[in-house]
Amino acid sequence: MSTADLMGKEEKQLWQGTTDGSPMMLKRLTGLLRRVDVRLIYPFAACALPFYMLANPEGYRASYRLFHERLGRSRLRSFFNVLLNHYRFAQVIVDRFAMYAGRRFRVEVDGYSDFAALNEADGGFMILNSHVGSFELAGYTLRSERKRINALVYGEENETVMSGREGMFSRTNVRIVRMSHDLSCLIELSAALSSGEIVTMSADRYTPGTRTVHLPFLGKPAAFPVGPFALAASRQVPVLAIFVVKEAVKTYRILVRRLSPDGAGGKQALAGAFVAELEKVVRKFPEQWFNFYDFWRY
Amino acid sequence: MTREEIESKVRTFLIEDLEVEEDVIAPEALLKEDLGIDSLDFVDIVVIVEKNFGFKIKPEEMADVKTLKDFCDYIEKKTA
Repeated sequence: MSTADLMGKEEKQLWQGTTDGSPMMLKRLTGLLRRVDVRLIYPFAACALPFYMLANPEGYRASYRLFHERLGRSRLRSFFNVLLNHYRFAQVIVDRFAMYAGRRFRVEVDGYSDFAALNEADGGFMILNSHVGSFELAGYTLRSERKRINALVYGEENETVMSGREGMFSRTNVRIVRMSHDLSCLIELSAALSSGEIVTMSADRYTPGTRTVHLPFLGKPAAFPVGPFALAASRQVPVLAIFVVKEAVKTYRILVRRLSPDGAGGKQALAGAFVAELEKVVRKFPEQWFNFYDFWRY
Repeated sequence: MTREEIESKVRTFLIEDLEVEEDVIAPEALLKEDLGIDSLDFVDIVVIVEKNFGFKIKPEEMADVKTLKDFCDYIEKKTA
């Protein structure tokens, strides 16, 4: 296992990081969801899928390779899995805007005691998330009155989404930190950890030009960002991995997994622990992993 | 803390913690281009500075810090 620098000048960002749709369209969707149940919107999302997949062939191919090459499924089964993958993504997006519209979902938490214990103890800790299911929902459920939660988000997300998040988080103890291209935000987050606060960030996507660590994931090496693990290791704080999966139309399950009690072992060990947990979740819920690009290209 | 002590501590952590080659360390060396320090290294630098010099680095204060001399000047100012 080794760390490799990306050729920042040549590497392009393979993932979009933004929600499709104009701000006005997304605002209208939010408005609609105030009056209409999500179950009435899902069929429309399903109808739009063929057009979406035709317009994004790279996403289709990436999803297909996940099921066929990485998970060893037959071509036919992989095709249907890809459809389901895209449909679940559409549902999760609709659910997100339903939350902005004030709708509530039933949430079960598996491993809440790990979060509670760290929340009650002194000192900061980190929560690492990924593009599985709907992580955002964890932010509204796993709340802390004792410690401020600093949530690192992609800086160029759609303004309607940012406004929706800020609206939801204004009622919680969550501060949104926008990711900066030069990662100077990490210094801000480091200060938050040393002040005993919570930092949450994604650990399964990297920004081109930043350092990555290559680890086996679903049978083939993939690149993961070093930043989250370096941050935890430098401050020697406990680390949790959290995954939020959709279990039914109105039900989500939050899976809380303790990766390290104190960040000891260094960034490499932390990265390995995170990737191991991520693999378990993706194997169990592959249709809810939403990285529609060639994840194993680096 | 004297300027010499500051420079000595900075030199030590650059070599031992950040694995910077000793022969590229010079006052006029650019932190990024010559010493190879990137944004991710600052995650470690922040903690090292707190432990060695007792203050917290603020991102906005580092905007004009380009060379090793600038960095030592910054630390000297913060610890004065």
